[in-house]
Amino acid sequence: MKDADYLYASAYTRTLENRMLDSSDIEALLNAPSLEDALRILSDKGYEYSRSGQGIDTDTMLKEKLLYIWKEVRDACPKDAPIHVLLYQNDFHNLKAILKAVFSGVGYEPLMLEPYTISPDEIYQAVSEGKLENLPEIVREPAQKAYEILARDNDGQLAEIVLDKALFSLMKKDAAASKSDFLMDWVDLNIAIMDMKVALRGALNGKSREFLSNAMLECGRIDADELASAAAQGVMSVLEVFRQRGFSEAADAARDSVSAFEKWCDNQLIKFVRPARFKTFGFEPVWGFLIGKQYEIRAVRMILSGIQSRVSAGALRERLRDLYV
Amino acid sequence: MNYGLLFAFLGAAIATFVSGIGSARGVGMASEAAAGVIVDDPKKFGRMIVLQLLPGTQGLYGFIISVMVMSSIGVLGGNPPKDLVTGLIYFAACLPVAIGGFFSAVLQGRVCVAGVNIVAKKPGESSKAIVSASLVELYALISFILSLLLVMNVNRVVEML
Repeated sequence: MKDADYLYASAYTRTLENRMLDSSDIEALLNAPSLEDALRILSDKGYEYSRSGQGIDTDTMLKEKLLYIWKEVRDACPKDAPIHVLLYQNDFHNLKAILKAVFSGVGYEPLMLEPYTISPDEIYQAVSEGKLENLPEIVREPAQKAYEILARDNDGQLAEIVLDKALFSLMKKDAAASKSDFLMDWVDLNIAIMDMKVALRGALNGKSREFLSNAMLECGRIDADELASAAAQGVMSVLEVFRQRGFSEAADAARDSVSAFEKWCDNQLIKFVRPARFKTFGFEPVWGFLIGKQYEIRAVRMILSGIQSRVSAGALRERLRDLYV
Repeated sequence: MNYGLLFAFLGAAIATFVSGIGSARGVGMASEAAAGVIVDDPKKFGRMIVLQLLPGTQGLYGFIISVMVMSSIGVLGGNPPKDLVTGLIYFAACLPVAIGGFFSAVLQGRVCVAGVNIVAKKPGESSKAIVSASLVELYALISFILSLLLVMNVNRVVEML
């Protein structure tokens, strides 16, 4: 990957960044007295909505916005751009949801995330017919393992861990193939965060060292073995490892609550990509924009549903993650 | 065979060829980035065009030197070099604009790409982007002036030798 391969894409995403929501826009949204007012603020930032018989479908509006952004960025990037690495998360999320839906006999469609590299219909057909060998290679083996776990033990948590581990292994492999140090580092951060989440959850649920060790992946930021051993001893040991490895803020957040820790994890990812706003060359500005836009859309979804269900601005503010711009 | 004429020809060729490659790369990079901005906001074309053009000047400087050399060695006027040394001096005179032009054009192209990104975010700051790119132009100009002075004084150098 040459640093001049993304001149068009990074300049284009820079122009799109001008219409991203900043903290003052979010504040205005939070203080919007009604959904109509919030949508008016959003329409100035390129969120187009239409009225139907049942009112305004904000979910469709946000979904279409995300798909539009992905299409624009994909068209602007060179054909071999590794942006698909980000879509693996949606593929694996869809796979998890479909597996759970098939085993519990409920519908899967509302849970699907877009865009994706594997069609949910294709996944559903393979899972519902038990023909997992028909799945694309990237998900085939982990899907078979998770399916067996669900069929044999009905252990949703273990199935999820198997799929998460497979997802990050796949992302790691593709990031290495892209030869982008930035992307490899981003995946490494994701793995570290996954390991930390597994350790904390495992410690809270009293999981064994062996279980936790199997659920974690090696990364450059934190020692998975050390985390697994600490998690087997309890939450305080995990927090101590966080502190010793330079993640004191994570330890403080985890001490407050699990949701505060989850927020810290999400904020680390956006903090990592934020310097890309000041880069001109390379893949970083495009990647940063995609992540940033996802965070923005997630924040808008949270605020709009909060306004509809009359959640206070203060409570929403507490749940919101940091933004890209 | 007149080796002096051969080297003078080579000098004239590389003056345009090498600086032209640099300019083509610089203009190409700046234009690629500018296209990414113009596709979203065509009104910014006017602010972009200077940034796109700036790395192109080196190729022009090289071409001027080539024409001057050809005007001195009997192609477009003047007389062919009488010996190898005169040809080599013409060749050497072309090197500053060729090499200095190549590197300054490529690096100026990168500054112009950064400038395009400035204009994309803050259209009112385009003059700052142009001034930054112009700083690199100084070194292209120095290379050009040096080549110009050398080509104009080839006969004096030959006499001194």
